[in-house]
Amino acid sequence: MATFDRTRPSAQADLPGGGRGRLRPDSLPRILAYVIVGSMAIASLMPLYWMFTTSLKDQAAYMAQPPEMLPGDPTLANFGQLFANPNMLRWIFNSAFVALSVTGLNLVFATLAGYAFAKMSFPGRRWMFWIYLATMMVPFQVTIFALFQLMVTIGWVNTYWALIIPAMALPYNVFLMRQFMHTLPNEILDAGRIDGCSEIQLVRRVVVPMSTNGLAVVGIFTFITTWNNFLWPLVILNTEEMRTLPIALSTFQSTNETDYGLLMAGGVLMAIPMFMIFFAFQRYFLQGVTFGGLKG
Amino acid sequence: MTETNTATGDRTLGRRIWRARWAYLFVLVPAVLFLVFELYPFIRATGYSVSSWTIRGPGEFVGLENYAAIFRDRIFWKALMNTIAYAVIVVGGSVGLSLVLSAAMYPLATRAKSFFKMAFYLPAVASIVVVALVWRWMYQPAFGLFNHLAAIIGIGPFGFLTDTSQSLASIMLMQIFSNPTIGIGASVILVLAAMNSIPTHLYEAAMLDGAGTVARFRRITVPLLRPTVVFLVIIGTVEAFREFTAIYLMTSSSSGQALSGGGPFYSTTTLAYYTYVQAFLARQVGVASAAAMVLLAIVFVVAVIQFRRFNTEIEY
Repeated sequence: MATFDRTRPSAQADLPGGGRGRLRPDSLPRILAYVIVGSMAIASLMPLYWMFTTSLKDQAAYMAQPPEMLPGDPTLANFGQLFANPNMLRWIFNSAFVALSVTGLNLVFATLAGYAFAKMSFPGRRWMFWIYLATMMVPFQVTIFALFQLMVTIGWVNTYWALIIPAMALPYNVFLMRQFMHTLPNEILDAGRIDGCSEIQLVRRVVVPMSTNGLAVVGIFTFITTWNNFLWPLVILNTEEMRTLPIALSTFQSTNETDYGLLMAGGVLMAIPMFMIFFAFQRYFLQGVTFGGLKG
Repeated sequence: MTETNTATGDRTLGRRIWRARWAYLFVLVPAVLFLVFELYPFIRATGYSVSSWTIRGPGEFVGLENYAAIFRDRIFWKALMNTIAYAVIVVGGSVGLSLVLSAAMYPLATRAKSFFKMAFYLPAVASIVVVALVWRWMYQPAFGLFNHLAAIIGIGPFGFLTDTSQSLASIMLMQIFSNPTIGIGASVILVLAAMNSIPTHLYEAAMLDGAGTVARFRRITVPLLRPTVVFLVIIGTVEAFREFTAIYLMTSSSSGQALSGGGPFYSTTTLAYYTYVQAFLARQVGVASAAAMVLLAIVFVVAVIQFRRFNTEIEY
């Protein structure tokens, strides 16, 4: 019996997608695995489900005891109230404009700098890159107030400039692009140089077309991080119409009575574009997460 | 770092720099941004931490007075302890849970695996702002979902965020499930990828030697996952020490009332939250900068320790 069990898995390991040399679980451990992982998955998705259903309930419904697991009488009134706010469209515009600008600028500058750090030799490259990496470790709390004072001095408080310019070449993106471009074959770059390409032509004609995966990862992650950014906009924006969505959403909470239906509708509105991006570009998310981790 | 100094006849530094002018142009924007928006504020912040603060800006040099002030402040110590507890439990909990989940998911069918990866990662996509507000709603003591579920299994009701002994734990639980960087979503993806890269022949060899499932997991899987685990711990610790947003959103009574946040009774005040309140609300900028420097020192020490462990090579 024991011998039989031991010989089975190695045979399986030769099959594509087989057990990779581990014991094929008998049905009981397999069911147990599904139960554990499945219940955790439900716990993970529950808050999102609760957000969607609460956004479809009026006040009486979301305060009902016991809570309605399915909205008995779903209504879009919360969304109507959301857009009845004259600033709502402006907030969406602010968030989209800032996120798109930051993403576009990062694609350009992270590509150029990533390429220089990965494939060009210049005096100072090593220590410049290391200092750059080290800054990623510095908590924002260290520099945030001095940065705020700088914005006061140059008059950028409550402007798009303050949200876009300091973020237009994020160190993490430069790092990520450098890692991606490190894998490009030198022979192709040298061939381009021999054919008389200048470095900028080389980037445009050879490097960019070969780095589409890296560009997609950087673009998607930058867009999402910027869209969701909270602390810096909270500090630097001070009028209602300049707010980005996360800041506006946080003001929906009030001391006396928070309208949770409205708050959750705002959350849905903010999350839906992110979910759409996630489902459209799922494989880049996997790549982005693993790339930062495994080759770092 | 391979092709430095390849076959250039140039001897002088000036010539080498001129030849590399394109490279300098390509790194120009990040370099300028670094100098203006990272290095300059960093130097100023160091200065703030040893200066008094007036309405017009930094005042006179006061030596280490601000540092002495924070070490005298009981709220600072509370914040430090909260931050350490937060970092240890969120990072430890998330990494531990990810290892268990990954081990359970590893033998499942590919389709099930990708579904579960999606399920764990989705909250991270939805932004911590949205997720924190949803959890605050679920934690709401009177009408929230959690107390209802607790009542079904016959426990509670709990105060959650309103109870000093449960508030920080409530935020930790939320972060383990939902944080985009250190939650289980990203960790499970990373750990599973690392498990897939372990060579099959190691398991076969161990099996021929008669090692059981548990022994193989402990002797092969766990040691070979160490680089990934250490990476998660480094990134997670750095991230955990910056925790601000969820504290702000889940504990202040309303926006613009951040002074009331970090409670009840400072039970959820983290170092990052403490610096924010000191700098932007109490306008104790010297104190805030000193606290931020302490934060930096802790992050630096933790990162160096972990990094040295990381560098001990693992051979297949």
